[in-house]
Amino acid sequence: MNLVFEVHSPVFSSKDDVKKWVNQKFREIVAEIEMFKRMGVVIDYVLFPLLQNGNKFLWNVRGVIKGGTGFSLGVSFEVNKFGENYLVLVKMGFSWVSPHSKTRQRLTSVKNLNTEFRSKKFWRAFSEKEGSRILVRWDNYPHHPDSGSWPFHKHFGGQKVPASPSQEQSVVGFFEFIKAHLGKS
Amino acid sequence: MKKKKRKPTIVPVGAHPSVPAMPGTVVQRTTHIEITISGPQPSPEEVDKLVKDKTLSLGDALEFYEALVEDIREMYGTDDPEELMRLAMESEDLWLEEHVHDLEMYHALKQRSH
Repeated sequence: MNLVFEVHSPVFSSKDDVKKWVNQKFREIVAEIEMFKRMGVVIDYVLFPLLQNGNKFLWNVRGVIKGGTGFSLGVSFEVNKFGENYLVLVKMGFSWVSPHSKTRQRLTSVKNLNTEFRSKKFWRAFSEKEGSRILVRWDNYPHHPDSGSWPFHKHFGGQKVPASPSQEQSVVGFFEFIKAHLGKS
Repeated sequence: MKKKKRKPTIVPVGAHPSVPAMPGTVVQRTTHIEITISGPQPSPEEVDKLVKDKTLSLGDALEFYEALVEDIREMYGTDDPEELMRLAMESEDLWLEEHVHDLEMYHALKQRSH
């Protein structure tokens, strides 16, 4: 269970070790999301294939949260070679989104996203053109050195909102934040 | 229930202006949040099964991104992740940040499916 999302890996001496580490991180995240599904915070989720593009492994998870809001977790594992060794830099972004009310209403009745994936037009939940809004976004992009929890920070919806210090620096932290706010609804 | 880490609970300092449009859920700024680890965690064998069952096929994943990227092109006039990142840095638009990763996934999926 990670209470802090790792920003980089240990140093590895082989590409196989890099792949094993990335796979392990991927599995840890799945376990954490599943735990929140079993707690009733997440209704369901789908995993996108782990893709390799150049020196990056790219991954995405999307799901529906109780009440019909959605989440998207994008992770990029960038493999850097230093001499004979490898170091993986991990960038992540987690967005809690509020879809348009019609889409949100449909999502509240989702049972199994994998089987209902097409019919629910799930992509609409993540399109601002379709009326979706980002409520909170956490990421560890190193562009807010003054956020107090560098490189992690969060934004509250809308545009040009200053980053605020984030106490939530892991998948568990993000979902705990959401769970706390759902409890107040 | 197993408590791993306890911090002061939520300190509300007022709902964000974006909140009223989202009925039923109140989002508040917080200084701390209590991290309570509870609920059953899946075993390694269950995780294997979840990964197998919940991973979309390349075709379904590409279909999802094609629909999303069509909207991105219409909204921002590009499907180039670097161009979108440049725009994101200039504007701090959260959707732009979100879509940089979407575009990277989309191009990687297209490459993989060819």
